[in-house]
Amino acid sequence: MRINLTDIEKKAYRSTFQDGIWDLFLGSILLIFAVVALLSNRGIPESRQMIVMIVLQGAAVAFFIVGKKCVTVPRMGFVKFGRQRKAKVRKSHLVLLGSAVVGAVAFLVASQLIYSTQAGRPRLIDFMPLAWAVNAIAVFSLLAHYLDCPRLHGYGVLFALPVPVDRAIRAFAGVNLSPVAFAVPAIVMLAIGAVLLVSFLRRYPRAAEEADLGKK
Amino acid sequence: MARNEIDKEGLQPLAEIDRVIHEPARLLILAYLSVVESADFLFLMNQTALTRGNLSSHLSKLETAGYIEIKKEFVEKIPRTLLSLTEEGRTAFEQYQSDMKRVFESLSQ
Repeated sequence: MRINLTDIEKKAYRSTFQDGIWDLFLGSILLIFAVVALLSNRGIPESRQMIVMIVLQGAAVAFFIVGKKCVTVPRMGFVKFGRQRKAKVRKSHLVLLGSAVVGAVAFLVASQLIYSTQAGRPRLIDFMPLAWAVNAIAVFSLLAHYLDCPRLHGYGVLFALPVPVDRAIRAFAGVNLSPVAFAVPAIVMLAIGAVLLVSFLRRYPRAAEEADLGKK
Repeated sequence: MARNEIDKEGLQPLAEIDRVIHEPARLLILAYLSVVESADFLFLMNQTALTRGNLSSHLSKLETAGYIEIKKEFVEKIPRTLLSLTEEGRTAFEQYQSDMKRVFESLSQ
């Protein structure tokens, strides 16, 4: 038998991802995009779409925080990881922050230049599906690496697919299926999250009182 | 050299093994605590698959030896038993690792 302390740490850290909360959160983010795409197709003004998106994303974040606090910790226990792990988590936060900044800059640049290209040349918006896909795969690959959570690679692909698929369907079939393009990968993630959550709840029943270790 | 002295010399690395750490359950507990900053009772119980009573008894022994620190705190009126490795515990765990290496090296010769 070989006891590897790195593997023990990795196993302990990975176990905190087996509650399905992350999966449900990421799935709900894609589902929100599907809802916004549906509102857009129905001609709802952009300002209202933005309000709906912000409210729903706020609800998703609240679900994530409450889920971790009220479901995961009371059943699985509380842990503070060591310095190396904290450094990795900090890097993952930087990746997310970097992605948000790049996304915001890209949005601002695109909104200024989107219609300003010369006729006959590809417009900036034509590169959007590729940029979306590359960004999703890059960000999720880095997160999978820093958070030691391999299934995030798969989620990167699921996040990357909707925009290129939507554009391809529009180009080749001439129909707008944006809500479906976002909803299908969202449902896959939500289903994985639900299965993980159910098995987590079965595996870790709500704990009884703490053991008395003779200290008050 | 008398026979008894030869045996004692041969068993020397084994005699130096820290018996508090050598028990498998306590070794597992220390292995987990050595890779985290701190963890609560429940997390350790889930990771080590030890029963509540068993874990509690091993933790008391490790605390008595000065290898772990047990802190009781309340988080939103819910009690939480926070466990962490002391400096002495970390040193003893590292010493145990090198002692065990020596034992297996001497066994293989």
